[in-house]
Amino acid sequence: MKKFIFILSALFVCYAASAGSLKTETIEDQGVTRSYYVYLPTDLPADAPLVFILHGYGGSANAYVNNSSLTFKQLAEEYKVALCYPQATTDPRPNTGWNVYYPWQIDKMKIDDCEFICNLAKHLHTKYNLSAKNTFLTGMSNGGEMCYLMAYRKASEFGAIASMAGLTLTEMAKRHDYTTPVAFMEVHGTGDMTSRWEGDPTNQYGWGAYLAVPVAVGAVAAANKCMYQETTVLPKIKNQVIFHRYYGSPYGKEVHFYEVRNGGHNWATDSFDSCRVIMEFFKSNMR
Amino acid sequence: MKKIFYLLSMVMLFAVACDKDNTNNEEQIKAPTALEYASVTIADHNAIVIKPEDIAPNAPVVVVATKDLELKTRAAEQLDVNFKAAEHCLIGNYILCIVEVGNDADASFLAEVKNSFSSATKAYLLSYRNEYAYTAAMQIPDTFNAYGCVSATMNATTYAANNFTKPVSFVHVHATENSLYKWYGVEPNYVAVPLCVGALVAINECTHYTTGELLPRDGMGLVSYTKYLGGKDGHEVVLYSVDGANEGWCDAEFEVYNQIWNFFKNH
Repeated sequence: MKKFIFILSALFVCYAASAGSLKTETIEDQGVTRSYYVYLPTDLPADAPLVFILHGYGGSANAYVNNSSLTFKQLAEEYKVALCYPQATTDPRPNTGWNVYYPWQIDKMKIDDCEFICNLAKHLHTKYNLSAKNTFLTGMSNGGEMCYLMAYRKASEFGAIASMAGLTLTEMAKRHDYTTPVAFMEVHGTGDMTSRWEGDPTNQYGWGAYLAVPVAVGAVAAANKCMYQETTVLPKIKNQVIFHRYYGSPYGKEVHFYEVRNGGHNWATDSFDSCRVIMEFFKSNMR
Repeated sequence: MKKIFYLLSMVMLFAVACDKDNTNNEEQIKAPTALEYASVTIADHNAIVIKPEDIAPNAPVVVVATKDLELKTRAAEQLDVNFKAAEHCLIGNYILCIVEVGNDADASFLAEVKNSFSSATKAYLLSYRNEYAYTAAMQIPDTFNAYGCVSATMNATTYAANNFTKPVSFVHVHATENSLYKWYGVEPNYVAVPLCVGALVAINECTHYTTGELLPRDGMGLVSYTKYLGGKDGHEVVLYSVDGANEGWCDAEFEVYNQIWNFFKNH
């Protein structure tokens, strides 16, 4: 009987941990019907923060919503934030992907995904009474590239931005400058064979030329005028994680850089609690 | 007959030998050049100009901005034969101008210093244990062909108030145990070394980097370098980090003057 009560309690705790409501919705944007998921935790207060989570190239919002290693829904209950998982359109290759100036997207993909995310944010702020000031963005791989592009183009729309295994394509750097300081995080594996740590200045691997990851992160730190650095070795779980904190920005915008030694192309959840670290970063940048 | 041949051969050999000697004399490098020292005032700043005595008038000039009075005095009095920074201008065949700087956040006078060497085809600025190379890179980025900094970082107040506006080629040498200009910065005075370098990498639009290590000298710390490449108009940034050393030229650890000069002369 005790066992039965224990199992029931455990099930209840699991259910309560993510007992908010998950909705599938659509919005018209730039002449296209775009779909997305919204997760609203229980007892969400008015003017609650909103966090966007962007999937990778060829991926889907649905896969992210159901990915058990991404603990954002449980964390949304704890931190009382709304989540939005938007779906990318199909690009010219054709694969689902955000328009971040991959070679096959330039001049062929008409959708402006930066505009889309900003329009969707405004829609959700109104519809669910969410905080425009405290809207945050994270994404992995192609979604991480969107994080850099948004930092270039729409930094003022976000309290903070966190890229996972994201890149700065040189095309982004050619077209845009960082004009608005923004709190920024990058988590990247030094052994990432898809989005290479050392960069790809000659487009050897086909994603378009892109900056070395430390150079890309350094550019954001320079734009924020971060002046001081702390480097901490986190307790080792799987891959060793080195945390570089760039701070002292006159704008109050820090840059956090998690270097996952020998880490691959993923959220690095097996090496540290990356989803919680992102949520804490967003919390520390509430306005 | 054999005797005649023998004598003829000897005469020919002697002639060749004499000719060879003459050729050698012509090719011989001139007697070692001495250094000329001159104390001067340029743009209201005390300076010492050191140059090989027979240097070409259009030779490049390296301006070293320093607050180190001891160093300046040593140069002025020509006492210290181990003053390797001065001796290196013999090897590199350039003019060295050591100029005394204060704590002013304005580096524009360094343009006047450079202009006082109007015949020099190229001019380089190196700041030793002060931030003037960074300040000059922000304020007068077109004045020098390349900039360098040894054992100092940017002043935080200057950095907060100024921006890098143009690409500049820059070399930075820093010891990881520098107790004054600490590697990770000193609040609220000095910017962290990686962030100083990162700001230049950003303005130069460098895309990637290479890393390497120099062969360690006995008992000395490891010297590693990071070269940031792919910058606009060929501008690059190089950071030498010297494990364990403190302030100073780090010349016990590696051929710092050669490395800096090799960087300069490529720009």
